[in-house]
Amino acid sequence: MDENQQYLFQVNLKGMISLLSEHLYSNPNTFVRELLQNGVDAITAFKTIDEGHLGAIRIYLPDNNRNEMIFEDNGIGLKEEEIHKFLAVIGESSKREAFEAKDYIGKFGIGLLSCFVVSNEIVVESRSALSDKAFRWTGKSDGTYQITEISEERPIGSKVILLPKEEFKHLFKPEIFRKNLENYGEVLPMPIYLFHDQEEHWINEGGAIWLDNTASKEELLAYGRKVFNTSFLDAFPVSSSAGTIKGVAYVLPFKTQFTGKQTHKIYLKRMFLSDDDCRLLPSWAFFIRCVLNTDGLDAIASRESLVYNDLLKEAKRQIGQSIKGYLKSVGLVDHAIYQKLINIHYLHLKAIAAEDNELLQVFMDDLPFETNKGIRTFKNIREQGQTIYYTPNIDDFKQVRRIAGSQGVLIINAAYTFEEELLKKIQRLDKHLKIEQISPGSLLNTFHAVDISNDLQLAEFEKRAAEVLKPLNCTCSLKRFNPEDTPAIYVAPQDDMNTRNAKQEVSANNPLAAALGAFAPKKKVLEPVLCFNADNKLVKRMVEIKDPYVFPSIIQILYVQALLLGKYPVSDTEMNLFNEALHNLIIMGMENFINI
Amino acid sequence: MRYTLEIQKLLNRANQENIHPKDAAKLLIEAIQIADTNEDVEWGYELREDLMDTQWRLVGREEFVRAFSWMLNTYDADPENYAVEDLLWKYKWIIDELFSNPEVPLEQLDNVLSDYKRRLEEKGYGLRSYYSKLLHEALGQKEPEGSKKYLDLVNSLPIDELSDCRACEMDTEVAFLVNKGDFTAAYHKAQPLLQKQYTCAHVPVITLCQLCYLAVKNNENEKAEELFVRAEEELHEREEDSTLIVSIGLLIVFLFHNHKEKGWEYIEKYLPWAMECRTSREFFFSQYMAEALKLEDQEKEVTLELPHEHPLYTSAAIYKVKDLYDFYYKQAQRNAAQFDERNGNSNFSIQLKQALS
Repeated sequence: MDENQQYLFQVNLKGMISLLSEHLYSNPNTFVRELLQNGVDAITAFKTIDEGHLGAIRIYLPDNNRNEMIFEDNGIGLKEEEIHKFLAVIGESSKREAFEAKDYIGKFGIGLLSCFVVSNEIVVESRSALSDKAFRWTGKSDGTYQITEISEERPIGSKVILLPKEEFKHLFKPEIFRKNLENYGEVLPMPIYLFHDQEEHWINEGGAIWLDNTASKEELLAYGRKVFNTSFLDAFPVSSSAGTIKGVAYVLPFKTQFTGKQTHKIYLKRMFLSDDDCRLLPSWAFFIRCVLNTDGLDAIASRESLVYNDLLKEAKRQIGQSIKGYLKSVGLVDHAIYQKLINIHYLHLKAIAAEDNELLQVFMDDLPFETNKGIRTFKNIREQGQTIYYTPNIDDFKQVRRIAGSQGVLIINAAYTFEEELLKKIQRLDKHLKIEQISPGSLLNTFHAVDISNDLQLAEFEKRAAEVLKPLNCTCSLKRFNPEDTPAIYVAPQDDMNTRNAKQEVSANNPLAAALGAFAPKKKVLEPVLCFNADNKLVKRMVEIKDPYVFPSIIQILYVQALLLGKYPVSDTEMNLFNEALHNLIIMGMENFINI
Repeated sequence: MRYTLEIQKLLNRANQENIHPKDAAKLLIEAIQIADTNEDVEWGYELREDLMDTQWRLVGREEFVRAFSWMLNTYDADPENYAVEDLLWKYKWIIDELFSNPEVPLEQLDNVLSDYKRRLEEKGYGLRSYYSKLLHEALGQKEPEGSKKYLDLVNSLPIDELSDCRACEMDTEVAFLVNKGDFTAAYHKAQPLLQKQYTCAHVPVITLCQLCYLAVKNNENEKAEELFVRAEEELHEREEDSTLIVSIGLLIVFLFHNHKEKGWEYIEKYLPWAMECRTSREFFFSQYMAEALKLEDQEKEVTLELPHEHPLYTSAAIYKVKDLYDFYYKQAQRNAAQFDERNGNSNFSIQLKQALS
């Protein structure tokens, strides 16, 4: 064997065609787009030699008169050698090396292959603007092709003729084909006509109102309603010099989740590309839908998305600026829309404000927060008192709000991560404000102490209650607090995982048992507290109860009641305890002992 | 069975696409509490797996070891019921976690390592993953002989389901060469990673950071700039992964060599992540901070938004470089002393000294 011999890869042409045509594209309708693209590019090319050329695309669907579909353009056409070169060599494109390559939509030389998905044979008849002769090229999906000269005289341009495969005939029905054609070609800059039987439709008669600088807001909103089936709150232009992007952004009229993708309409050189945002929108723009055209960004080979490169990143940044610019000025332009925007999209606005100081200044006062006194704007909260309290998680909020409300303290529920950040940021921007975190523990410290040194009965009560609570891993404390009708409040430490569920500890032969101590939280582990209210009627009466059965039963009932009030999970054991205690009281005829 | 519905609801919220991992972890802990209260072991196991997967991307992962030890217990009580491969994979994380906490004595570490080894052998796995843990530790300690020994051992054993992925293993080989200070060899070795022939959650971003650091220290400025641009790009795609803080420390050193202003921006942006660091991450980050700050004029005063909980925080937000340097240097020194005491050597102190020499 000659070691220096160079071998060439052998390509199975048939397999290659099937691979490219069937697997590159996720949708059998793609051929419509590819044919449109070739037609548009051919017309664009013709315009470079004849500026005044009036390009048009005509499509004749199979009907009573013919079995084929004919796709015709009056673009530049192909010479014989160009047909050999561009139609027969996969991966060769007439547009890639052209001087004006950037003006063309296609460039990969694989578009025509998509026709093999729906047809076993592709016929292209073409006459070049630079030649008098016309040729017919017939390509088959087994990788062979023929080329013959057409004797009759032909106008300049190309015709692609497809005979639909049986299983794809439905795609050529007028209503379906027309929808696809509209989808891809609705805003292309040259007229597209569809013929079926004797009827003719001008597909893109409406043009692209959203690319028209003089379009009114009403027109834009009407367009948005038609395209997305939604009556939007507002519409505003967006643009980016990077990627030469222009279009319209619509503000959704309803709340959106941070999850879930919005559909958009992204066009590349006015040809529909994707209903995904193609990563053009910033991550916080969940409440926006866009119709955008880019003339400067590149599509990936399947033409179903854009190439994620530096230019796209810059475009994304500029679009983000566009949206922020709108948000900053909308309050001045139309206060009603500004109010609606805040009412509906405050969660997203907060997320944006947390990362953008300027926007924070604009929206700060009007942003709503959940408080223990309902939803309040920040302005309202600020005017309430000197210190603004917040809880960083929902558990704390649930506990704290019960206690705080009756004491006249306003507390913000800042459970979302960026809400806490937002408050901290507001604090940094305005040094006069006092914003403080509050926890059930710190609130407990604000309860008034009970002096038990002078009251033996109270001291005794605390001791006896502590004994009942000990097996439940709970400590006891006696304080005075509002509201008086709350007999006891259960206050759990931050991380409840280790205490109430101590039974889940690992066994001693677990190799990690010894190491666990090294990972224990460094702060002292607080035990949960059941805090009794010395001002409460029931508690006052209980001080007098000495019965060794009644007293523990009531304490147990209060314990479970406090868990329920604080919305803590109640285990089976605790529920049983509650039932048993009630049972005890009934048996002993509770009405004889206590009357509340 | 109302509680399962409650768990499901919490899980749905925790699995939202754009939720911050910290929030997801909180919700999972809440769900675990409900499962435990209802003594539902299967849910408890599954939720703890989820919790570990979530906290893996966070520097603050207080429940990590506790959750795993619970899983190990549960697995041992009923081994038929749970996937051993997933468990052992998480065991690898836990070994890293123990190594990086100086409060875990060597003796306990040895026990855990031999337990892991025993489980591998019992289940018919090879020891490649076992030795790779020892290799990582030797690399972390910058201990040349151990590194060489374990690297050879790892490479001599067959790849199996528990060995690190190719991307991570290659990154480890790059780290070996970075430790040797051989930029050309490391850069060459890293090519398949830099060209993204192999990628993983943290590869190539950590590879890029290592190389960028070494490049700027070896006066390969052009390469360093190029590596930085790529590292920054990769970082942008992982904006919530606070475990990358040590790699960010490496970039901060680079920035203080070449672009001080941007270095300060990085410090401001990423310090909140560092605030939650414990253990070896705290050491490495502090070391790199000290190394970076040493390159700045010590008498200079800077305006900096430090996190509220930072020990140096003042509302005036003006700090002297010297104070900041001192803070991080001392923190690194403290950490190094702790590690060296545990490890019975002075590898961490030597590293710190070398970095600041």
